[in-house]
Amino acid sequence: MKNGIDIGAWEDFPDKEIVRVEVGGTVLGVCRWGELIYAFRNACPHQGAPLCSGFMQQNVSAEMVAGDVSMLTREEVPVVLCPWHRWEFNLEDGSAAWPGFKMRTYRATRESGRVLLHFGRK
Amino acid sequence: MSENNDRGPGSVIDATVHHHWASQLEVTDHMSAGWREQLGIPNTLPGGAGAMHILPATPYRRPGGDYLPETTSSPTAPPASDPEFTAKQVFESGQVSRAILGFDRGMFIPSVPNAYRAVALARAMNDWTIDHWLASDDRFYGLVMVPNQTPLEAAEEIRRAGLNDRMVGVLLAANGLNKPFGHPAYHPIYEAAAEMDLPIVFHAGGDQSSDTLTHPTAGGMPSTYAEIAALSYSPMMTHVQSMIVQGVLEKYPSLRIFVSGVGVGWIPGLFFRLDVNWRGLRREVPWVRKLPSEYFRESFRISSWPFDKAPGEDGPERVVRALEAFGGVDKLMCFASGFPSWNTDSISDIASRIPASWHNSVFKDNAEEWFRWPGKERAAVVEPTVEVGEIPETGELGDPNRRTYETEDGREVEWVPAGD
Amino acid sequence: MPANPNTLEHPIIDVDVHQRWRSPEEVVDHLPEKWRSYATGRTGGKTTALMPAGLTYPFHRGVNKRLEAVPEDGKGTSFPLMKEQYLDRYPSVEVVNLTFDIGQEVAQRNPEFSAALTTAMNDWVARTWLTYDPRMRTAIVVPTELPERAAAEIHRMAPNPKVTGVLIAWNPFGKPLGHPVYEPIWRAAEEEGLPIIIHGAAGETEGGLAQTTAGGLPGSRLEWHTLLQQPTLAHLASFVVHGTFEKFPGLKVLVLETGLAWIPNFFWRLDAHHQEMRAESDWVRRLPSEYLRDHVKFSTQPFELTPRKEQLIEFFEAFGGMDQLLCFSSDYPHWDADDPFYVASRLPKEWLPNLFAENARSMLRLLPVDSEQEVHA
Repeated sequence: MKNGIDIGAWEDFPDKEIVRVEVGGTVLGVCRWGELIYAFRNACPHQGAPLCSGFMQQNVSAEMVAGDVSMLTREEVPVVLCPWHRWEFNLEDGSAAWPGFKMRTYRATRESGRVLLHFGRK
Repeated sequence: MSENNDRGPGSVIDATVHHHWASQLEVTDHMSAGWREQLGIPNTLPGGAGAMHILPATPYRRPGGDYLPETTSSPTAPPASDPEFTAKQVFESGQVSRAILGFDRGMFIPSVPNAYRAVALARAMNDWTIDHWLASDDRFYGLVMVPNQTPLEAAEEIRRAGLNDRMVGVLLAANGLNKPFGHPAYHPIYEAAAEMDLPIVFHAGGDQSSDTLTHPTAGGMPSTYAEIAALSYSPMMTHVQSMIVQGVLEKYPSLRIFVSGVGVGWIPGLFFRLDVNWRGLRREVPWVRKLPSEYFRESFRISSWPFDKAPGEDGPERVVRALEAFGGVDKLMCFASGFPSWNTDSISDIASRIPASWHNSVFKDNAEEWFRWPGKERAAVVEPTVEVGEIPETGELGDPNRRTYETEDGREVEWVPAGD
Repeated sequence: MPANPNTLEHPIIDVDVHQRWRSPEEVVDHLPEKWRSYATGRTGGKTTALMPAGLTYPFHRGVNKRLEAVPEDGKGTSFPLMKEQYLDRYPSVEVVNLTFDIGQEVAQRNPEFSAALTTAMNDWVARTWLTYDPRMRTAIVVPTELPERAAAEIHRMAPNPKVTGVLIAWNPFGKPLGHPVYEPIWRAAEEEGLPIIIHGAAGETEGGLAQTTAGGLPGSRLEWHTLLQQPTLAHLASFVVHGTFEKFPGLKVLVLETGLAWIPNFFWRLDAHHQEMRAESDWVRRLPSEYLRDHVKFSTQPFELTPRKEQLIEFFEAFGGMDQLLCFSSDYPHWDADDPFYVASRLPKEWLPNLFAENARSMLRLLPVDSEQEVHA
């Protein structure tokens, strides 16, 4: 188990689809974005909505870079949009479009054709 | 609130004083011979007729009058129409060092249906302000009045009259195109203002004239002046929000805006709501890349006049508590008297209603920073870094996400309910 | 966070929940023959048969619902989904006040058609959703352009004990609602003990004479939605100026889906113009805010959010008496619906009993119903 929890084969996670996974009583969303794979808690930090019913898009975000705000579009960093208020959260680090809210994310990795989930700090 | 309400000599900038003419001839005399003939001369026909009136119709007037009493030098002259008399009244306390003149009902003239007359009148009004008012007292400053239903001509007028060093901003009052002010049609005005480093001034009442066809209230036209006056902040919310959401401040990053005549109490309610909504609807307007309130704090300043009042003994304290819940209003608010309007605010009254720690910024520093005062070098235009109006691709419709569903009768869906 | 459902001990009266027919046929087929062929013939299909007079701010990809609340086939709204996602999740819900899909279909240029349609819509909800669960209650729609017919529709529907109020979903005259032309509707509502229910900007879709915002039509859904409260400002001011609450002292008004943060400034502005109102009207005998506090309440959704939770509370406390004015609403299943636990977590505990039930109880007409007999779903 030190290498994480096996939650299925790579093929079980179709590209750009959110798959609902239950691990030890915790419901997670797991999703692929091309060759990348992400995992997050199925609860929006705003009102607790089931994020697994949301959808993914590319990041269109204002990001503080050395005190400067710049627009990043078309970048290969996906976000998940909440099915309720359509707030969005970066799948890499859970950050929202503007500071103040953060989605809980987990580390997911691909090893020998399997997808492994790692609890604990990212 | 504050105990010491006496501001020292010269320690106040009054950001809104309304100046007017004793006779419209003062203005039309600045027009070409053709226009002078066409507009005519008052009192050259029986009963005072002989001229086409230049003021637009004002369907809602205050019972008991729109002005403070005793603001005229003669019984038949309009209030604040005599430069010397007005200077005496505005500056007599010695506290006010500078006053910005923003026209009275004349500010609504550019909404007249004849667009050519609007252009000619706006030019004449600016020249009249410079010749008749700015020349009479060096403590008076002016705003460039623009015919905003023809934005290209308005931009030209900003570049012309704005060259005068005592013109410290650009006045947009009447909503000449019946659109919120962030609408792209208005953008040439902002381009010129940014180029001239002149702040844009929005003034209350621009949606009240019959000539604009916009509505001063949502939900239908009210029956009384009281409703119009109480709700005069609502079209201003529309305009302020429009400037932010339609990307004007991304397109012209150095543009500054000043809002006058609607008080400040509407600010928390608008931004507590708009900021939340932005988190969910921002992809509709992806060029809005900061929280809307961030743009507001950076690019807007607001006149204190008419300062908000809550009922009861503790009313003033409640108003300040509500503003403090939003925070930073002391950095946004500039004192304005609104003279000679019926609800003119006095320096001592406003000083007594706001915390002493706000006094320096509200009475002077904010306005000092905001308007383009003589001698101040015109700041360079800041170039945009975002393409306003561009919708970036987000990958949402890419394979294999796309699914196809049948509609119930096989026809294309042309309407689905979208009310919330 | 979705807390344990049992942690919210307050009974919940949810004053704004939306339901839609799965197909317009459910309503169209119950119209009189003339209007049935009119409705389907003019657009050539059922999909758009009930399209109202104007609506110009469609949502991203045309879905203004919570995504998981959209049925698998995309048609209308679903009671089984509502049960799973809403009723079962919040077991303390005592009353669900249905308000159609804001009812804007009644906004028709042809007032006779609008009248026929309101009758068909009211019969539809009585026949369908009111029978699905004993907690279901409904607001009814009325043809506002024909005030006498609207009054008759109120009297026709009022005997149904599950009717809670009258939803004003169309402002056909371009007049704020205090205008005397509307008085037959207010009189009938008062007689039947039914409140008037005004849903944010529902009556001011863009095809009307009244506009959805002051100062020109905004250019985005973000702006439109943020200013949903603006028509309500004019309506409430108008009720005060035209003496609606003097003429109909028993009339109550429930305002839905306009948020809350605009209320303090609005009340203060009206009071600050009290003298002008008195000079222009014979009807203004008390402070405007006193009329509003006695006759009007506001739903909590969409609930505003401040960076710090305390900011919103400080703001409301500076105003005072907010706990008497608020009625909880979820707005399920719309995209901007609020979770009751979330709303409870953002406000002082002492406010919650009033906010979740007691204020709504004083507003809606909630008659006892024999649940066993009524439910035959």
